[in-house]
Order: sequence, then structure tokens, then C-alpha cells
Amino acid sequence: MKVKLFSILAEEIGATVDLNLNDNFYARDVKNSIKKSYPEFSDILDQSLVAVNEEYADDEEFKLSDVTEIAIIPPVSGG
Amino acid sequence: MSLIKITDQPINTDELTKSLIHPEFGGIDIFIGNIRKFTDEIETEKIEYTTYKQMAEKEMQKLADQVLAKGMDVVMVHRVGELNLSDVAVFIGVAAPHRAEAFENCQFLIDQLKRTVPIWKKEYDRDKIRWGGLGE
Repeated sequence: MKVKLFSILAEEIGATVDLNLNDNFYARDVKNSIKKSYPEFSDILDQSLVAVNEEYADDEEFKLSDVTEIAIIPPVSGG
Repeated sequence: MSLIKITDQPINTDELTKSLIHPEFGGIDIFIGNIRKFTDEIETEKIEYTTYKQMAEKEMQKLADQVLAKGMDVVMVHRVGELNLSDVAVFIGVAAPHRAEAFENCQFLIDQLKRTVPIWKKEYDRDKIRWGGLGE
């Protein structure tokens, strides 16, 4: 599953990362998987939220088959 | 006639303000956010905004819907891309029957936008680059 990255994570890692997710997973697990490959971004990942299908979803559990899009949302700073 | 969008084009504040004028509404409150030169001693040269556009527009619409449900009109436009000093980054407008609710809801929308809408700034300051939201 390709996970979208934004802001500093997109610039440092790339626009997406490819992850192998379980058939059932918690959204927050996505951050932990990325941390394993990119431990240097643990701090930023800890401050980030996970969006599934364009909705904030950190504490929710998903079936992979229901998921069309996953994104990591670093602390936002619009305005 | 609400308008909610993210654009990479300059924001036309006059046009957006006019779009809020309607005989039902006696008060229009507008917030315009511009690129500021100084934050204490830090001097900013330009800011690059990026976004997760589809989700950002959805989140903006969710905020606007809360105000629209109260019978007011709303405009929320955020610009992305490279912005220079004094450029308009964001325009929030609320038209309401009376001023108190226009003030209150305009503040609500800009405060919430800054908390929840996936837009990020990369600040090019004189001394270094800073990413918004991450502190030093």
C-alpha cells in the first residue's frame, strides 16, 4: 500500500512510502511501520496524525480492503 | 452561495468580499492573513505552502458547514505555492444578520483551519528554513 507523505516528510523521504500492512490494522500502526524504516523521523511521526480515506483516523481499526488512501499528516500550519 | 477552496492563484479579496453581500446579512466579518516579515527577531523572506488538497477542502467544508447550518454565508479560500511578503495566504469571510455572530464565527473558522486543515508552510527565513508546526 502506498502511503502519502506531506510537508517535511515528503521532502525528506518522498511523496509516498510503500508499506506492507496487515489485512486488519490500526491507523496508528502505519506510523510505527514508517518509523522502523526511518527512525530519524520518529519525533515528527509521533507528532503526526494518520488519515485514512481522507479522514483523521488514528485510533480506528480498518480492513485493508476498505482502504483506498492513507496519508501521514504532520502538524498542520496553514493560515 | 458559500465558496470553499484551495488555490494556487492570487486571492482577489474584493471579489470575495462582494460575494458575501446579500440583503439578508447586515454584518460581514473578514479575516485576511498575509505573509508577515518579522516574527520577533526572525525575518521571513517568503513562505511556500503545500496541501493535501482533497482532504483539506473536505476539512474546510466541514468547518464551513457548521456556520452555514446557522443560516450564515461563508467564504474560505487558502492559497498554496510560493508566497512573498504581504501576499494574501488566506481569506475567511462570514456574512450574518448581525455583527456579533459574524465576528464570532469568522474567528472560529480561522482558528479551526489552523488546527485541523492539512496545509503546511515552509518558511524561508533570513537565517534558515523553518517548517511550520514543528517548532525549531
